Amino acid sequence: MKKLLPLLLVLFAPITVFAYPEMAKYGYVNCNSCHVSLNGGGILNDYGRQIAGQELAIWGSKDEKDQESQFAYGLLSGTSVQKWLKMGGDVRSVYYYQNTAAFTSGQAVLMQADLEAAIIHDHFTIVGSGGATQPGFARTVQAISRKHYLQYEFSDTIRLRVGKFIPSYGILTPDHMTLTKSALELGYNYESYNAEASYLSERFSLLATGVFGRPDQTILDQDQGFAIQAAFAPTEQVKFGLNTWYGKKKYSSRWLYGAFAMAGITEKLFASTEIDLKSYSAGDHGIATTQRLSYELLEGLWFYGTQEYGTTRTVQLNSNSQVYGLGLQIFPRSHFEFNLAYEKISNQLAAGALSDTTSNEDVAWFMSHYYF
Amino acid sequence: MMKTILLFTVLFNASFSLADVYHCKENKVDFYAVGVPSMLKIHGESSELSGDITEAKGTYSGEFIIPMNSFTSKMKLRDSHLKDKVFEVEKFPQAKLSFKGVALKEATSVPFTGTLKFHGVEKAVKGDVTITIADKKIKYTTHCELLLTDFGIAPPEFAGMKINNEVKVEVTGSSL
Repeated sequence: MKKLLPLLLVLFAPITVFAYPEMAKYGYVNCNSCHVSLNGGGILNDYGRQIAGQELAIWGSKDEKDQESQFAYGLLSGTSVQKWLKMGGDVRSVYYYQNTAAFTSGQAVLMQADLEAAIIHDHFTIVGSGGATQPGFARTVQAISRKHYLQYEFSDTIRLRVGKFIPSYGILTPDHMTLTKSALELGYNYESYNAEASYLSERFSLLATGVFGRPDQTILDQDQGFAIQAAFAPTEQVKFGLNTWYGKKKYSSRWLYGAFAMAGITEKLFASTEIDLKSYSAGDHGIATTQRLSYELLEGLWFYGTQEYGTTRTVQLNSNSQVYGLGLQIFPRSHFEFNLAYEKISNQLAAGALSDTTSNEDVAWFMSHYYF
Repeated sequence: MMKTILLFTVLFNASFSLADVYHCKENKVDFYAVGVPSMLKIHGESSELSGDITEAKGTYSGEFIIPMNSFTSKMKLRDSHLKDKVFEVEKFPQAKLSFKGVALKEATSVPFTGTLKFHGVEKAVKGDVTITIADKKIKYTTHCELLLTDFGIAPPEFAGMKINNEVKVEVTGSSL
């Protein structure tokens, strides 16, 4: 399964912007502390800009960081527009290298070039993004809006959101290629049209999402169903959660059941874990799990390790994938991020009458990210 | 003259021995505030609280002082705002909590009323306190809830994050 991930990375190259669960170290266990979106990712709010400017930059004085962290280096700063209009955008590319017994390859991919805006008025928030994408290996570029939604806040705790966005399930991490994300058709690149009702209090949160798939592109045959996420934050740096997902495609359906936890263990150390059980009508009953441990070497310099394990269990196919990875995430100055990672992947496969085969591969990638 | 001095010394010591004084050294103050709209939980702490608890005739009195500059919420930017804009530590470097004549029962949470001088404002505060005494060593845990506006502090707002007026405070400690 994981063997296909680098290919998927190319095929689904355009992805939306990030959320950093590591910010739980500072007490930000709820994504909307820094993002306009309740489940994170995408455009930053004013507070998020300030935090990103100060905590996600190695170099720069406090004043420089304050100034630089603003949208387009302060283009809207001090204007009346800034009160109700939030702007952002991302340009990202990755160079990845893959070495297997059969082949070695490397490729640079433009992952994303997007602008995003949020208009906030009273209890209403309207968010929309627009950008260009180069699907797969195609040479043509097409316009795309990865998200556009309307949110209404009934109170500080209750919200309703309708439109196109990523349904809440598990931890929304920047590393969308994990076995608990893309391999389960969740997270980035699997945005869909949804209606989400949410309750968020000091300790508890509950998000119920009706998932309507992609009626605008039925050829994608994305899930239609629902997702429910309940989470509990016993302290300001710890959050646990449970998820369930039901999705129906044209000829199949599936249930997912998941649990996750993330914790700022110390001021420098962060850990997260997610495990999902899958039950497909086609007969696959496997699991997927992802762990991450991240240590802040310096302000804006994170060293991390990952471990993943996934199984696929069907009558015809029995596979296990294991992934171990190390990486360095660098935020040299406001607006810039670089991520250098190495993964060792082991796939064990037994299909039909074929005997067990094990394949190992090495994958390395270097991601560059600039946000406006 | 010598007899008089001796008499006073004995009397003084006798009266002083009616009270037990616990010098509290290992103390910690935690505060918990909530920011909306994201329900951001802010936890600040300091271990630089110092003070004494005195027990006389079954009731307890105490006075504690904390340097406001000693608080940290484990984030530089937040700490800088907290100290410069909220606590205003340059103008109000210390906070003082005192209480008198509180009848405490060991290992039982007892309500108390004390006086808190914080941010230049002195005001009565209510809370609860639990103590345990063993080997002439006292351990205590105190909870109270403050309103920032009671102490002349407008609930802070920073870049759209509004901090609620209610702040929970927990004080724990023990004597030597």
